[in-house]
Amino acid sequence: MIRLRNVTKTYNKSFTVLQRINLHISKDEFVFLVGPTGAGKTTLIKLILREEVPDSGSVYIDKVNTRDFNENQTSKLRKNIGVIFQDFKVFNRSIYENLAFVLKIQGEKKKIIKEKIDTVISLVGLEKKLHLHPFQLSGGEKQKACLARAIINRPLVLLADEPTGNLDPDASWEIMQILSKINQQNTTVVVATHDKHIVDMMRKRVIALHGGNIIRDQQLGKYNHEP
Amino acid sequence: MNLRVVKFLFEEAFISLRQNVLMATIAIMTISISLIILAVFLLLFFDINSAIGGVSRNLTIVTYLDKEITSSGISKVEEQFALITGIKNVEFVSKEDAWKKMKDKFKYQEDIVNLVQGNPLPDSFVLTLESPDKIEDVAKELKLVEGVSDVRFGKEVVSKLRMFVQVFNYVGLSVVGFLLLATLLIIINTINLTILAKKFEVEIMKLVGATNNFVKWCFRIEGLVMGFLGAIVAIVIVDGIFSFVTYKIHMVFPFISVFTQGLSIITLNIFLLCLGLIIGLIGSSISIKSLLKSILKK
Repeated sequence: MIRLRNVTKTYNKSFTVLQRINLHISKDEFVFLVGPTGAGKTTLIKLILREEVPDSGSVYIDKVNTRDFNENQTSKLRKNIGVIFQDFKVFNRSIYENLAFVLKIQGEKKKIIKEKIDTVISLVGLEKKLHLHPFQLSGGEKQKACLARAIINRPLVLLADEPTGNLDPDASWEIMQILSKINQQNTTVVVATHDKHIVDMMRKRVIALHGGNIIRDQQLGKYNHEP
Repeated sequence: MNLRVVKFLFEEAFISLRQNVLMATIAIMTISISLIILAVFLLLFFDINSAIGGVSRNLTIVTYLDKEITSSGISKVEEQFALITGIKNVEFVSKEDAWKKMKDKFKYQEDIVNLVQGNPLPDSFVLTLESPDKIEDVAKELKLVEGVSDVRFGKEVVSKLRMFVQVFNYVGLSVVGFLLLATLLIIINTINLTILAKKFEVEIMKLVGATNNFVKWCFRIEGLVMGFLGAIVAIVIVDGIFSFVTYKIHMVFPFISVFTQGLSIITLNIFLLCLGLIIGLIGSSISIKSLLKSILKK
């Protein structure tokens, strides 16, 4: 699903964030990207989203090299990649309008918009908050709304950059459970996080970055007990 | 881009205008004021030019003939006139007819007429021209015809009218030009501020798959809507002024017809609407080009 081949990314021609990274994430996989600040986690996510282009090497999404994508191809790619961030990034409108926006720019019919919103909003458990504005929601609820928006197009890949960075442990765990549910519905999930506790609990594949290199790539085994 | 997307773009433009209502109102009112001034200028321009055209078209040249000219001489002069280009109509006025007209004119001042011994007036031709533009050239040619003693026409009237129209046109066009430029700059500034205020929203738009064109059209339509609303306000006010002024003038001077020549109010309304839309579109396009470049590069 996602393949990086010898990817190097440098900022300002001197600060190398990623060095000759080789990585393969299969379809339907759930992967954690871990590492200290500046390790290159966010840059890796930006490269997959094609918000950044590698200085050398290639990024393949569903076997297609995104390196030379034009603006329209990038736009199409992003309809197949959902993304959420630590700082939520929601419009100052109701949750319904936030979700509808994604579909309206694609020219979807009202009926389909309503159906899709009903589906994703029940998945994240925000049915009763659908017509509230972001300022009326808690951090966890805002992140759930962002999650709903990210998956409304049933993307092939869901990227989450520090999705629990601003949340308390309970809300963080809820978000992880929803991500896990989304993954079970055949979406590849990539989560960049600092939260060791969550990584330990989830027992998924963990890719550790340090100084722009992959220092560990490990599938964690299952715990004997539920968290 | 299908119709639902276009509808959505308009909805987005109205949402944005509602969010920046003060800025949008200022921009819309600026467009209105500029268009109102332009409309008033255009109405005056067409009416004054039309009136001046009427005066010029009615200008005639009177050629006085030698006092001793014979009837065959008069015929020869008339034949010579036929060879001069630009003359539409030639009317002979005999010295007897001229004297009769003179006496009719001064019938209440008989003393003045009685002071004159005999008929001092010469035979003459009253010439109407095809176009008033070449009146001076035609007059010069007429002077060269044998048997013509004097040529008279409203030379000063023509030159003063021309001068007035020229000054009026230049000053008016300059004022309108500066106003339109100021309006354009205000639109650019308004859209600039909107883009800056919506920088975060533009980033989200891009993340959820909006194309650069979609983002650009959001702002273009916002400019178009501002131009449209500005033009509508201007049209309502101009139509109101037009009806009020024409009504008042008809009440006081029923024999004078104003604002009826050259430019119809419907044509003017269509022109104002198109101009409003063009200003809105150009203003927003310039803003987008300069400001969105950095946001949309990704």
